[in-house]
Amino acid sequence: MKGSIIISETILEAAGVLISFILIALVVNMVFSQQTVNTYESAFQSMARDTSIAIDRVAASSGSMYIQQNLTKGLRFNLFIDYKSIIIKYSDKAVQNYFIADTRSGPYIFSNPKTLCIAKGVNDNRIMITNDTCVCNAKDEVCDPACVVKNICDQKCMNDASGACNPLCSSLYPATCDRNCYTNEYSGVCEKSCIKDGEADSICSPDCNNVKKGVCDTDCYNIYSNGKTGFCDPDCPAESKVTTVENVKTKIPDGKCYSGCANYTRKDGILVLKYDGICDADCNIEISAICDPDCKNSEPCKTRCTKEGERAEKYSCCNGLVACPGTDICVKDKPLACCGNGICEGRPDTANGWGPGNKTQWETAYNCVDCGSSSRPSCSAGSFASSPCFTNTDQTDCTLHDPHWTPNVIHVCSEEVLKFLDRRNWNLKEVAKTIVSAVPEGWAFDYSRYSSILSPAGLCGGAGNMCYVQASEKTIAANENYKKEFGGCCAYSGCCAGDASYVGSDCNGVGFCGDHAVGVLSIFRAAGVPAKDVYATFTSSSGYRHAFVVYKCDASLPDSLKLDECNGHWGEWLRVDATSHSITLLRGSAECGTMCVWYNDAGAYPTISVKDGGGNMGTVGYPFPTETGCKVSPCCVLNKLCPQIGVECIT
Amino acid sequence: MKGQLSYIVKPITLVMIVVLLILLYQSISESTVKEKEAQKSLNVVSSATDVLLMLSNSYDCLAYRTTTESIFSNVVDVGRLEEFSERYEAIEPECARSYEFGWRANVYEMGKNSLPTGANWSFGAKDFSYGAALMDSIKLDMPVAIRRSAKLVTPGIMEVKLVDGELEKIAGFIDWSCQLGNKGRPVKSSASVYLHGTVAYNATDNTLCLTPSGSKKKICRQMICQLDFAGLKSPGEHMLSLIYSDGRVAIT
Repeated sequence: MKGSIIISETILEAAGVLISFILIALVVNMVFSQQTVNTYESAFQSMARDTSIAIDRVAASSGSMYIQQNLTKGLRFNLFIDYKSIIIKYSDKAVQNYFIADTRSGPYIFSNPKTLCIAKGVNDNRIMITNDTCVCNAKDEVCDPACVVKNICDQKCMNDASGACNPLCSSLYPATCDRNCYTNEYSGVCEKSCIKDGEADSICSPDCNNVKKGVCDTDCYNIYSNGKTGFCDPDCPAESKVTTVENVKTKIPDGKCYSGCANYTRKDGILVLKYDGICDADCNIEISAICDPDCKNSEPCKTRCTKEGERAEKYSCCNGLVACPGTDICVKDKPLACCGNGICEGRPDTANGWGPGNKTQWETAYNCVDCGSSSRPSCSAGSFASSPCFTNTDQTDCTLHDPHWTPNVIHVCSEEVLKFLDRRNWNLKEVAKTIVSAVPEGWAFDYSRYSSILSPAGLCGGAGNMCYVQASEKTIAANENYKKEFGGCCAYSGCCAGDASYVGSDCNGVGFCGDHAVGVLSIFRAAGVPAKDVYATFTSSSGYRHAFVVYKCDASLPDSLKLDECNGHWGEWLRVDATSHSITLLRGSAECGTMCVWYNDAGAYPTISVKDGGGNMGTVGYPFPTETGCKVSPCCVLNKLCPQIGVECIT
Repeated sequence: MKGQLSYIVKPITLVMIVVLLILLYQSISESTVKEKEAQKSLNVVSSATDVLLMLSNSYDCLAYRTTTESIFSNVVDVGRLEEFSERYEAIEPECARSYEFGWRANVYEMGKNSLPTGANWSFGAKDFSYGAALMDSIKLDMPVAIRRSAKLVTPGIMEVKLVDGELEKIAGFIDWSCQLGNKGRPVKSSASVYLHGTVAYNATDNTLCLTPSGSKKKICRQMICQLDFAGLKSPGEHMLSLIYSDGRVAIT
C-alpha cells in the first residue's frame, strides 16, 4: 500500500511536468507563430506604405526627379499599381495602400520585383515606374525613364509603351512624330509632326494651343467650330479655305463657324468674337447669335461693339479699334496705339498684357515710353567692342576660311539695350522669355545677311574680302519692331535662301546668328552680369559656324540676373541662343565639341584668364575656360583669329 | 509533511508559469497593437505633409508655372487659389486627394510684421468625422509664397487639417472605385468597414452622411459619382460590395 502511494506520487509528478511542458510549448509556439505571421504581413504592409510615400515624394517635387526604391528581398508577391493605389498580393492575401499623387500612367503589374525606379519628368508631371535600376543608357535597347530626369534623349522611349514624353527628343528629332508626347494632354510639347493637313485623328493637343505651326489641325477645327471656344489653332481654317473678298480675308463657307481663337465674350445671348483677321462667313450666317467683327456689315455686330474712347467691358471694340491692355479702352488700331496712357504693357496673357491674337500690337507697343527709365541701374562697360565673321567660306577646307573682326559692334550701354531692359524690368528671367519665344517675340533670322554680311550694300552674292557684324543696337531695335510670323526672312527680294520669306524692310536688321550673339551679350552685360560670367562665342565645324552667348550659372548673382534654366545646374555654363530660341546646357552639347574663342566687352577670354589662373591680364591663354570640358575645332582657325586682336590662343 | 508541501507547490508553480506565459503573450500583443497605432499616426503625419507638398509644388494643384514651364518650390499662383476656393468648396481637389483621409486647406496671406492681411483661401472637405467615428487628426502648416503678379509675390501660410475617420474611409473607398470606373477599369470590389454610427446617402445633393452613435449631428461628404445605396442603418461591421456602371456606383 505504501509502495502504491509512492508510485502514485511519481506518476502525478511526471504528469504535472508533462502537462507543464505541453502548456509551455503550446504558448511559446502560439507566440512565435503569431509573431512570424505578424512580421511576414507587416513586411508587405511596410513595402506598400514605403512605395506609396516614395511615389508621393517624387510627385511633390517641383522639378524632375527619380527615386530608387529597393524592396524587401526574399519575398514572393505581385505588385499592382493603379490609380492612387498599391496592391500587394502574396499567398492568398493582399494589402492595399493609397497614395495621393496621380501618376498619369499605368496600371503597372510587377511579379516579384526587387527594386522600383520611380521617375518624374517635370514637363508633363507624369510618373513612370519600372522594376529596374534608375540608369539612363541612351544606347541600350530599352527605354530608360530616368533619361527624362537627366535631360538626355533616349530614342527608345519615343513611341514606346511607357508613354514617357521627353521634350528634348522632340526638339532633337522634330520630324519624328512621338505619339507619347502627342497623345499626352499636358506634355508641354506641341508635336507638330503628328498633325497632317486635312487628316483627323481625334486628337486636338492642348499643348499646341496658340502655336503657329503651318498646318491646321482638323480635329481642333472640328471640335471647336460652331460657336464652341477652346484651344486656339492659329493655322485654322487652313489657308486653302481662306480667300480675299473686298480686301477682307474671308473663310470659304464650309458650315463650320470656327471660334477656337476667338476668345469670345457672351453677352445678352450674343456670342461676340474678337478680331482674328478672318471673316468667318459661317459665323456671319448665324446673324442672330454670333458677331464676328472681322466681317464688314455684320448685323449682330452693329449695335454690339464698343466705340472709340469707351471701355470694352461688355462688348469687343468696334471694327478698326483695339482695346488697350490695362485700361481696356478702345483706340484706333495703329502702331503705338496705346502709348501714353501710363500703363506699362506686358507680355501677352500676363497682367496688363495683350490678349491672345494680339502679339503684333504687343511688339509695336515695345516702342512705348510708358515703361519709364527713371529706375535704370547704372551701366558700365569695357572698351573691347569687336566681333568676328568669316570670308572665303566657299573653300571646302575650313582652315582656309578667313576671319575678320568688325569693330564697334558690342554696345553694352546703348539706349536700345537700356530700352530693351526697361521693357523687361531689368530681369534676365524676362529677357530669357523673349529669347526662347518663337517670332515675333523671339528674334527673327535674316537669310539675306549671308549675302549682305559680305557687303554693306546688301547685294546678293556680293563678292568681297571683308565681312561685317551688325551693331548690337540695330539688331535689338529691328527685332523689337519686327511683327511678322516669318522666323526666316529676307530683307531684299533677291535673297539667296530659297526657304526664307521676303518681307522687305520689315526684315532689315533682324540679323543673323553673329548679330544676335553680340546683341544678347550687350543685353546681359548691361543688365549687370559680370564680364567673367558671360561671353559671345561660336561653334565651328566643317561647313557650319554658329554664334551664340555662353552664360555661367553663378549662384552668387542677384536673383534678377539668375536664369531659371540654372536650377540644378549651378556652376555650369549655359548656351543662350537667340537664333534657335533656346537656352541649354553647354556641357555635353555638340557645340561644346567644336568650340571657338570666347569674348566680351572686357576682351577675349585669353586676356581675361590666362591659363585659367584668373586675374592675369596677359595675352597668351586658353580660348575659353577649361572647366567647360569643351574642345577647340580646327575650323576656328584660332591661329588667324586670335592674333588679329593681339592675343595668342593656346589649346 | 514534505509530500504534502510538494502537492501544493507543484500545481501553484504550474499555474504561475502559465500565468507568466499569458502575461508575456499579452505584452507582445499590446506592443504589436501599439506599433500599428504608431504606424497609423505616422501615416497621418506623412499624408498631411504630402498633401501640403503636393498642393504647393505640383502645377496640377497650386504651383505657379512660368511661361517657360519652370516651377519654383512653394510658389503658389493666386489665380489657382481663387479657382480652387470656388471649385473645391466642399471636396478635396483630385490633384491631392487622399482616398484614405479627408482634409481641408487654408491659405493665409501675410503682410508686414508677419501679420495676416486678411486675404485667405479655403478648399477641401467641409465636414469631418467626430466623436467615436474619429480615429485621428492633425493640423500642419508651412510657409508659401503667393504669386499675385509678375511684380508682386507675397508671403503666406498654407495650413492643412487632415482627418482619419470612418466617414472619410468609406467615402474614400467609394470615390476611388468611382474614379477607377471613370478611367475605364472594370470595378467590382468589396471591403469590410466598421462603423460607430449609421450612414445614409442623399441622392439630391449627392452626399454621404454619417451620424455617430450617441449623437444627433450628422456629417456629410460630397461624392464624385451618383450612388445606388440604401445606407447602413446600424453600427458595427459591414461588408460592402461595389459595382461601377455608366458613371454610377451600386453598393450592396
